[in-house]
Amino acid sequence: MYVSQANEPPGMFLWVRLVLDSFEFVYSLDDLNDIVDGLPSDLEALYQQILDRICNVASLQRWGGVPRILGLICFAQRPLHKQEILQALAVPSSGSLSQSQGIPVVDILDHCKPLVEEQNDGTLNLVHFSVKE
Amino acid sequence: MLPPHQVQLDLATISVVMLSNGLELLRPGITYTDILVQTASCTHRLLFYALEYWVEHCLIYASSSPNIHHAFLSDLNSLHEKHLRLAQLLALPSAATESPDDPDERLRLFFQTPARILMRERLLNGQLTSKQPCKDGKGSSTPPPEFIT
Repeated sequence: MYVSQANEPPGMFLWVRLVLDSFEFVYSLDDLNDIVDGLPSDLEALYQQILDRICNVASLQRWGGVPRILGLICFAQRPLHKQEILQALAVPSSGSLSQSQGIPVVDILDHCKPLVEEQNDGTLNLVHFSVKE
Repeated sequence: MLPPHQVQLDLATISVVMLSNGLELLRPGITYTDILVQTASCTHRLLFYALEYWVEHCLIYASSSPNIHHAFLSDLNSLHEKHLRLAQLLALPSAATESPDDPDERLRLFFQTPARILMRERLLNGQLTSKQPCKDGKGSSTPPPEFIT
């Protein structure tokens, strides 16, 4: 895959990286073939495909789901530490002062992994500015 | 995905909730052990972010949304009342007074919202501290604790 994309525009390197990241959660050859067969050729379509997949994780809905986490990362005034994001999720998105819920475990953030990366200081950033766009 | 003004409302609400919870640390009679337990349990992990940026999120939200969500106004009022009660209990002098001069014109969007005074004071303190030289001679963007509203 690296070889076939070597002469493509710069966005293609990001495309390859995102695809390889998505392989992390593949546990069978059939699943791998399905993903490869359905790969879109451009970055925007790939973003959409990833979003479609990660935004529907049912177990995250209680905390607002992946869209909420990505929103917090995109619009915070400075990069947020993963522990700060977890605490933010404990406040219901339509919440009020009296409705805070438990802080979720850190693994919940793994669902955003294809589009988000952890820095050395524990803050989470988007893998590329184009994700926000 | 969520529209930007919805995310700003979320960030503003989260910040207000964090500030309100953080005021518990100033409650008269709270013990050092209580503070230690709360701090160790990471329930105030986002407090520094909220202190720094709550006003900005409120202003961005209010200026990007056609109207301010009722539940959010209610949260702001609760924060203001809690702040007021605590200031009275601690017998703190209040510098929060109305003035025709706002440090940020977006504050008018919170006209008739009592918490507007807190926002205004926070912005003024931020402006004041940004003009103060640091002890180490470097510039400072973070106000010292005594200036934090």
